[in-house]
Amino acid sequence: MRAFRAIFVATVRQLSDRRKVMGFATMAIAPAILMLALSRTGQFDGLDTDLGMLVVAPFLSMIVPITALILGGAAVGDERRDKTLSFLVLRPIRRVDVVAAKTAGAAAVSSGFALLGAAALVGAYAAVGGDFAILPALAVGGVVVSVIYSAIFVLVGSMVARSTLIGVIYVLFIEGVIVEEIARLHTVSLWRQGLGAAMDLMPGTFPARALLGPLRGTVPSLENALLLTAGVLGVTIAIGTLLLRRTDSV
Amino acid sequence: MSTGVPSAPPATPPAETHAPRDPAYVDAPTVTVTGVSKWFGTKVAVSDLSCSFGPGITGLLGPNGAGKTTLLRMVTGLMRPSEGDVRVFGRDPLEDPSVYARVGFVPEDDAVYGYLTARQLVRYAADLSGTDASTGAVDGALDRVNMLDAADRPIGQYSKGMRQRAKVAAALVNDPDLLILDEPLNGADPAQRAVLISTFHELAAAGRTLLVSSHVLSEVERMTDRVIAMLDGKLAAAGGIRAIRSAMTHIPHRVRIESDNTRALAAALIDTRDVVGLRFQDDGLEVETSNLSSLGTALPALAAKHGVHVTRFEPADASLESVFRHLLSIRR
Repeated sequence: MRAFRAIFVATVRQLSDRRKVMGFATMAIAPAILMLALSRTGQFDGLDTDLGMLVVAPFLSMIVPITALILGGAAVGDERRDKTLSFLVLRPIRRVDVVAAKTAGAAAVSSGFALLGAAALVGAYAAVGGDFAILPALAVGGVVVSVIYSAIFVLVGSMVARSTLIGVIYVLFIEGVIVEEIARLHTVSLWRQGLGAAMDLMPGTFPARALLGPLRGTVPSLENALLLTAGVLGVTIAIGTLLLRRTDSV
Repeated sequence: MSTGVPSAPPATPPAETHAPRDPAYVDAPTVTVTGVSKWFGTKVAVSDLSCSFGPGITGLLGPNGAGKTTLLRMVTGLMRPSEGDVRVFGRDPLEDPSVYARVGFVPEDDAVYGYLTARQLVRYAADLSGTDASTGAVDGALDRVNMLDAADRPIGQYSKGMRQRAKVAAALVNDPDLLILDEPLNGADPAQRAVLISTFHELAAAGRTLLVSSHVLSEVERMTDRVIAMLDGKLAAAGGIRAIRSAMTHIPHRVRIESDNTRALAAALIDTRDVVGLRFQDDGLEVETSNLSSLGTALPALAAKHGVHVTRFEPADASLESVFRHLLSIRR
């Protein structure tokens, strides 16, 4: 447990240097700033569905996934690039602890930025006439998306050097275009799991009907999202551990 | 490849009763490498290598591409042998990570966490190794490499030599029985090298096993007499530096001889069957001989016969660098 904690703390420190914090914090609050800017143009007619889309969709489908995949990819990928991975694996600890602690660290930092972004969005939403009641839903959705993408890209980053490029293409092209067009893929779409969890928790006052569009056939469900998150965590940590044990590429 | 030095080692360690013992092996091994090969596609990095390492310092030598780092990575468990077996404290490090509680490793790469201070790095190493950091182990390791004063500065601000010392401190914090050092003196200035070499000597004197890979031959010579030399992935020579040189009988030995009458001695030596070459150098002679011991035995009588007083007789090519040069010439 001591080793797990040490790797977790070191990973959080690794992923939250000043440059990263400034960059990802700016990215996280960008939707909130956009909302405030657009509200001044008089585009919204009260709390309509456009506003609902603007609050939730870009945040959960782009900002949070991209933040999480960059940080997840760096968690082990940077250690591989900097050749510091031997510092971790030549220790009397199980490699599953190394992978789990790196994943937990990346997920924690990603979730931190997601929570910051959610808080900023809710603040902006309240400023244009909404209320703070949507914060838990947005926070849970953000954390779900953060954990899923972090876990997957810790694994991708441990295998390839260009995990960020792969991730961005995946989010913008695969999830954004291909999955969007093929309805039956929606149930396995990663950020839609977070959106589903958020929709499940949204108060009835939230103008959310338009958000059912991106979800299509997916039933908004916190339970499903949590199950998928747990599954992704289990599978990625297992594969990551196997790779760390079996390959020469440390 | 045949080197004429200790013959290619057997696939398994020799039995205790072998006499004389194969110099590639030690009596009480900490690390045993048995018939190990490693290939990457069609490239063979290490080929059927067998040797062992025990308490004290062993220098691992070889030119770039000889397979030293590959061997060290297999010994540490960072790399799986394509064939053969590596045992550390009698166990396979790939299957049993508990051996790492007794191992310290300093990689060749400039691999440090620049955002940590040296103290944080050493503490991190202590946490990962299960060492109780509250017992002064962290300060002790830093003190050992003379880094206490700079311990609270970020490693990213250190010179390369200081980063090396920080890495060594991190490797020492768990008080390892086996310390594996890949080019530990890289980037260190003379004073820092002296500190590190002194630390290594202390550890060796305390019965620890140190395996040091280095291309700075003079420094290896200062550290140890026992070397394992590798060429093209194979064991080229093993044992004491002078013993290796002595075993290279197919290469003439060079000796430096000084006397009170250099020219008279040269004239006498040139008629000697054992002398195959001779040249004047400074105030003495550098003689090439096919039989060093025979020349050494015959020289006093020869000198007396010609009324020459020999003041100095010493091998001129028994340095590690000379031995290494010979090994390289064999490859060419």
